[in-house]
Amino acid sequence: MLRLVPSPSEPDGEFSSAVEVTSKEELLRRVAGGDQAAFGLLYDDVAPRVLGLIRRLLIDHAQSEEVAQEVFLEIWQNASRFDENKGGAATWILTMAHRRAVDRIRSSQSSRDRDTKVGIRNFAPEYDHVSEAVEVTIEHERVKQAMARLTELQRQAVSLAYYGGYSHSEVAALLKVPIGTVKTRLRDGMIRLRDEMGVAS
Amino acid sequence: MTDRDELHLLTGAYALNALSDSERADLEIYLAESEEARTEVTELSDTAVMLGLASTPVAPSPELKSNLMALIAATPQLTAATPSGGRTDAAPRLAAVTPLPEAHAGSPSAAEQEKIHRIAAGPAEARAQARWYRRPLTLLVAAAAAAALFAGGAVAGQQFTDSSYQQAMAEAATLAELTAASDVERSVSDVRGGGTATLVWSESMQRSAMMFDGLPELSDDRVYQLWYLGDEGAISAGIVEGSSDSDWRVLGGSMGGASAVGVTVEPQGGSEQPTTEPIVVIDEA
Repeated sequence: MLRLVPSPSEPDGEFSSAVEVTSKEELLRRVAGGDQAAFGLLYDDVAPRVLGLIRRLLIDHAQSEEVAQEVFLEIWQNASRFDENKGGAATWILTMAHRRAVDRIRSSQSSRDRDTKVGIRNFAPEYDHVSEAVEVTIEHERVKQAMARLTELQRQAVSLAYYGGYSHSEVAALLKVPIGTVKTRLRDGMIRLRDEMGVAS
Repeated sequence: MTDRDELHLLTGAYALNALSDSERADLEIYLAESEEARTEVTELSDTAVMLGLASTPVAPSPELKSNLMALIAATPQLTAATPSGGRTDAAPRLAAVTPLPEAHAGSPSAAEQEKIHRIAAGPAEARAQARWYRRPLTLLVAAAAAAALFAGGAVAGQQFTDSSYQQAMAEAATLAELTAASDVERSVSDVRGGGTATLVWSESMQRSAMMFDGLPELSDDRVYQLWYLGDEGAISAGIVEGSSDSDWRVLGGSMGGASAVGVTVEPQGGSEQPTTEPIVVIDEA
């Protein structure tokens, strides 16, 4: 089960405070019971991560905030469906955020606009030059190291799919490789990342 | 290679949301029968979340939180007790949007109209009430047709377990989209009889939503009815059951030429035109 690090036992500046740290899972349980204050706390805790991910895909800030709002409204409405046995709260929330960002890309012209604006080169190499970013997450370093273990094709395919929001057929077209190859590279690339980062359920 | 092998290859793309809708559906059927594939998908999804956590956090605007806190205060939640996807509060609320009955189409008496004008509480109400009871036939027909469409959708939808839930979610998504619109406006008004009504609207989307807080509960044979008010008169925009003191709905239809939204208490099922004096009128301008 994944949780946003640091865990309550090893607090750092971002999440610790003088008061007792309440886990996101506990907050979600309270949200499921209609606790609006708990929703506010959960929002404060995860909103920068959620928005960070969505904006990575959509680029446009205003549109990203719209999608983030949809995601949080969905969290409020569906909190009772959260099943801790299937994963941590961060997994549940970020999976939803990614899905909604991808939905937005596919349902609008934003992907086409975005392509012309950013170009495909900008998706893959971000690990290599984030030094200017004010806030670098702990996961960033882990992902960067794990990504370095992938083949070039695996890395490009995974990055375009996850951070670009491209479907496997779009990835195939962008990389000029057969779609079957992309399916395989996405799977073995993700398995490699799982093993490198020690993610197991 | 068998179909199963073919499907199993898709676990990575699935975790990355890179599948088409039909492939996703196919894989989910396969996942239901293969524990091995389920485990792999769970692990790869967790791995994808690590990729998400590696993105640089971005501070949201303060408006995002204030919007959300206002939204959730008026947004019903799914209860854990409805695993099929049904939503206890959704069905009656959606079912309430029914074709408008002829029975309540009668005009209010001249005395009633006069009373309404006397009671006008603010500038918005005064302006709205001047056009409150104008009712060209074409608009009546249009409003009834729109209402019938709504009702038809709700009835047809009941064949699917999840449809009322999905319809409620669609309405919630519209509300979310509305409050996130770049030209969103919001206006709060006290409601005669107690409580407040908040109107949220976007000119560019041509949609509005009304949120109630602390409204008196109505008897079973009465509902709150929403109206778009414009030069053409009052056009029904949906019904809110008065069974809970806080509720909301996205108004049916588009703003069109309306310049205000009003609320009346009407008999169960709603009326074609307002038959009582408005308890609140809010300007959309």
